[in-house]
Amino acid sequence: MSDEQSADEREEEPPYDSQKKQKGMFDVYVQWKRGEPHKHEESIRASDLGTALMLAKRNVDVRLGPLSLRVVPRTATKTTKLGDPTVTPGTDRTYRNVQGYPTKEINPPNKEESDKSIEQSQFTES
Amino acid sequence: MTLADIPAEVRDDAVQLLYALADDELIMANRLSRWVGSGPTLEEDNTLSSFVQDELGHARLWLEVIAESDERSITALAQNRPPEERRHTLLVEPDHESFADTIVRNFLYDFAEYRLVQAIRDGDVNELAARAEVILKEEHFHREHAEQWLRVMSATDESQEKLRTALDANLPRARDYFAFEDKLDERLTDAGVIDGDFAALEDAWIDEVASTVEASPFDYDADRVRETLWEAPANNGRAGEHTETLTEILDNIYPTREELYPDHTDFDADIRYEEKIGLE
Repeated sequence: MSDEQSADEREEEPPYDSQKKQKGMFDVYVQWKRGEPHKHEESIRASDLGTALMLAKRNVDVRLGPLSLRVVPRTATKTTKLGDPTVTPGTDRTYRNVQGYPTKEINPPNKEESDKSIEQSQFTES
Repeated sequence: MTLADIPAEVRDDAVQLLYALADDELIMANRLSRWVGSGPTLEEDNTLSSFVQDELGHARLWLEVIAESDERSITALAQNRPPEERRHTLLVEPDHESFADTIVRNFLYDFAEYRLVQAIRDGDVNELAARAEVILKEEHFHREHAEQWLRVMSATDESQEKLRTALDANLPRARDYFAFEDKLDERLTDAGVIDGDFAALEDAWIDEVASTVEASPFDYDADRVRETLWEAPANNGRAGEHTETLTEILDNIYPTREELYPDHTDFDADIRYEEKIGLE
């Protein structure tokens, strides 16, 4: 199978977060402390945004004292597919790691020369 | 002002009012608990279950006050009183027939309770006002829940029809919510136990219910709501007139040990023994 064919197939297959499948799902975000961000806590199913917020109020642990709730319809979000190569490219490329760049020589003779070699490597490697 | 400061006869009246409030909560909790595990969705099931906890907690808050001047325990007061001594409104008593029935009943009951508890909070008796304040914190959400579901259930013709049926069935039962004795009304208002009289509270409640129905997307005649609620109740739960359903409810509540073994006195010894052998 050539690369061209597989690219076409990827476009034709329905996306992971299809609108139909995720309709009625809401993600609940909770702020537990002042100044902290809203963190994803759970997902609930509801008929609309207002009902989702209402139900979320009694579906998070009220005993822990949540400060603020936020509900987001799942259909308003887009999720990448698991193992999507555009999200997780290969990590075995030396140019993705700082070790891939010769920044300084081992046991430099003196500081001035070492700085010089760093400047040079930045220009040559990029 | 505390309960001890008010005259003895008014204190009895206040206890009568507290019995009514506590019994309302107890029976409402019992009826709502039938939804546990069978709610329309998992999320709503959780929400209704938390309502059961709320209502039982509220009943406990009022029973604690009664138990201070009563030799019976809170559990005995909640479970061992015969049907004729119960003072809850007939609105809370019948089994819930559908989810629409539950929503309409919550709507009528929580709106009325909110008014009454608010009046106690604004009253002069500190220990009652403080408890009312705690209860109101949770009642805000109960009202929001009812209003939200009334909106959602206006979405289809079928659900609208169910709401109308539920309103037809429950409006006549709700008539006795404020049907306390006249002398109770006068004395409690004069002593400052409640802020305002029952008639004014009832007016405000009926107006609020009718205007909410009017503003809701489903069709229901708001004047019909007013007319139905204004009529005198055929049976008055506040005077101890109850149906057979109450006997069934009380039979299904597990009796206390005090009731099962009236001659046995040292129940603390039993508890110590159970703890020793590791029984829950």
